[in-house]
Amino acid sequence: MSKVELHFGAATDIGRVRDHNEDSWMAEPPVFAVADGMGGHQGGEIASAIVVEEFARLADEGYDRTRGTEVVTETLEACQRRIEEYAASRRTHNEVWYAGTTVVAALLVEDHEADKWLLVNLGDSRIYRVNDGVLDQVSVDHSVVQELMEAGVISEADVATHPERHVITRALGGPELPEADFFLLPLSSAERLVLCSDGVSGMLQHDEIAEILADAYDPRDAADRIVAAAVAAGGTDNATAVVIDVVGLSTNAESYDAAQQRLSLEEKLGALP
Amino acid sequence: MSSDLKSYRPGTWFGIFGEHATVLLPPSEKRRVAALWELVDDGADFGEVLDALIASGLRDLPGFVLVSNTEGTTKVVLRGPALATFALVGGETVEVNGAEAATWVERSLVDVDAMQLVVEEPTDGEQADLVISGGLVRVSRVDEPPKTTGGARSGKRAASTGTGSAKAEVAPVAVPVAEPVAVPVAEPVLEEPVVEEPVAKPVVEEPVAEVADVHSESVAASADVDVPEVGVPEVGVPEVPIAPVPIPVPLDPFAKADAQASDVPVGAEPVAEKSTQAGPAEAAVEEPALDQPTYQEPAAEAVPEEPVWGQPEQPAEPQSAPMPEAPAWGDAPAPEPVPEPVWGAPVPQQQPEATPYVPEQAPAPEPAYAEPDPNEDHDGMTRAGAWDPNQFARQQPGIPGQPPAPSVTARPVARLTFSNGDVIDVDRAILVGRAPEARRFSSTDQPRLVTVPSPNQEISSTHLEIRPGSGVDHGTAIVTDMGSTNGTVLVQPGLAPEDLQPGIPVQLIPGAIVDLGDGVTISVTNP
Repeated sequence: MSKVELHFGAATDIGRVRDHNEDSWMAEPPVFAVADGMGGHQGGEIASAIVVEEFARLADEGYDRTRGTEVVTETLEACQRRIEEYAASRRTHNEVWYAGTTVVAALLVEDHEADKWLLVNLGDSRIYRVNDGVLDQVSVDHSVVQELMEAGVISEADVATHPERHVITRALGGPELPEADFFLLPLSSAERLVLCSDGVSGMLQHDEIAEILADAYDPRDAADRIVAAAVAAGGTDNATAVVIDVVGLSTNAESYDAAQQRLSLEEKLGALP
Repeated sequence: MSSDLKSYRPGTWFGIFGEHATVLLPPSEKRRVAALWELVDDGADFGEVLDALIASGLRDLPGFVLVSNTEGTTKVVLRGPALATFALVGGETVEVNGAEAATWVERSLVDVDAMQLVVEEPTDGEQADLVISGGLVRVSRVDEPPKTTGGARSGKRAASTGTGSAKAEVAPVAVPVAEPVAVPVAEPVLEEPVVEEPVAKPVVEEPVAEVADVHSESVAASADVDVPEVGVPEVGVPEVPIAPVPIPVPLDPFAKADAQASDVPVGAEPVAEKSTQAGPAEAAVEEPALDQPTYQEPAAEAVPEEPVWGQPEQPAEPQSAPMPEAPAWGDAPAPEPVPEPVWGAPVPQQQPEATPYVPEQAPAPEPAYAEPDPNEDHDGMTRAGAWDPNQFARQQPGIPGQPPAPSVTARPVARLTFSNGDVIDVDRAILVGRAPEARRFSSTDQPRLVTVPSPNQEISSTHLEIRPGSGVDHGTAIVTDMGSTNGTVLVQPGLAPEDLQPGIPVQLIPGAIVDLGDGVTISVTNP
């Protein structure tokens, strides 16, 4: 098993405008996920709940850490299948029913060398990481505005006001499973990871998020305060955040050593001579 | 006998003609050709070339011919299906057949009057013999002194008897043949006779183009040296790649091995991506122009500064055309109607001028989504769009006009030996650094991360990438500095050390050493 020690916190809020929360999250080390559902008649809630269930199954049943990308792809396929099945069953009632969801997930995997973070993204939920105290957006939104910005059609300043800013280009629950983006990071280059829905990233500026994260030492505080800030900033959408800290890498003597920390604490408390 | 002028018949083998040595390699050995051309063109002698040929062992070299002439002695080494026939001054004829030996056949002959190397049956009946002095061409047979179509043999024999001078040989050749060599003897010998077509042709043959892409500088440079000597106008060289583009695919021996390479028509894909950005209206207008401009691609390719890899993240196809028609998933009544200009506006883009190839993906695929009720209370904000996923496909790093690199190859194209002893085969992208990260890959093309120690932090976290090459780099590994802080030094065999330009891929020749700093080096060999 992994010797990596993970601390985490999570928070979600319905916001001030919506009448239900279509965001879902799960955090069962070493698997973490946030999904932002969309669709009427509870479609969004169900779709995002399916994603969270499937990733929780991964955590419960265990997975082959050396096959991270394949495992995640299989999980996404399972999500897609279940959402489609559910949609089909609802449509037989002559309802116009559809559902979709974004997903961002982080899980520990092993490559040829060591434990790494495998991150996956579909849609416009986000993954940030803090490295040496600097906040950095890792995932790239699958949204029209992002694509237009990368193409140079619009500037970053236009994003917030663009009429198509909420239209995403990839999601689970569409006619076919789109290709997900994967990222592989060494643990040492992400002392803190943040998974959040666009109810957070759309309400808070990058610097505001960075400031909150820098102030909140405990990941549970960090998650709470980010979501609270997003609601305070308008709360026009459901806001969800999961914050994960890598607190110990006992395999690597050069890095921050949790065991060493505990030892010194016990010394201070007089438990050791 | 002089080593100055020879003639050849087009074929599939590679013929490398230099000042002191001539090397013929079978079509399967394309990956070696670039390196050998460098060596041979730099004036390497028999020993040096032979060393290079057999450096990686004989077993994976199915055949070759090496001929060198120094001070009246002709040395020849043959392996595999090659036949060399030498006519000696005394009238005697010596045949050397590579197929007869398990390893190779070597002969050393004095006073050779004429030589003929046959490596394969000529293909389309009687072919013209083309004269060559130095260069890289596809051949089936080589004659020295040059042979011209129809009855040149006797003329050659007669003329060259007794002298070793190139001038003496060339001149007579021109006389008996009425048409191909237009200018007769009277002219200053080396300048004119050859210029008509024989030499110009060989240069235009496609192999040169392949090498030119990789080592454009060196080829250009050497062309400047060699070519004028034979009378080809210098301008000819930069233009060389223009004609050959269509040829490489059918001739490429690797094409069959790699479906991707052979299926994709040259110039179809990457070019298409770029030009799409011109917007629908222009695209339609430009369509008719589709035919010839594609062929100019290589010209751009040969320019090493072309920032092909500069913006790998840039989505290639903002595709203005289909968007307005494609209803967004959920078809929410947009608060403000989508302003037409946004979509219609052509994306400003620094395009290479000659890429008006227009892809046929103009009509947007019908969205297969169920029509949702616009009045539904869904999330209200986030909506999925019925976008064609390909619409925003990211631009593949690579060379316009060439098929994109296969992300994972069936067999490794190179082997990397790290200074700490690790050995890693290149069958996918490999990211090397102090704490390398792989960003935005798909489920099928996961790169391999290789962490190297850097006690002095001289190496950047993701320092460089080595991956299988595509197009002209197919079958080899290419290295790209990922914008490292302290840079990367590349030492290729026979070349001065070079600093890698961030984002600009460079082909790795076996024997190359990549220096990342902090004492970390990677040496490149054949797998």
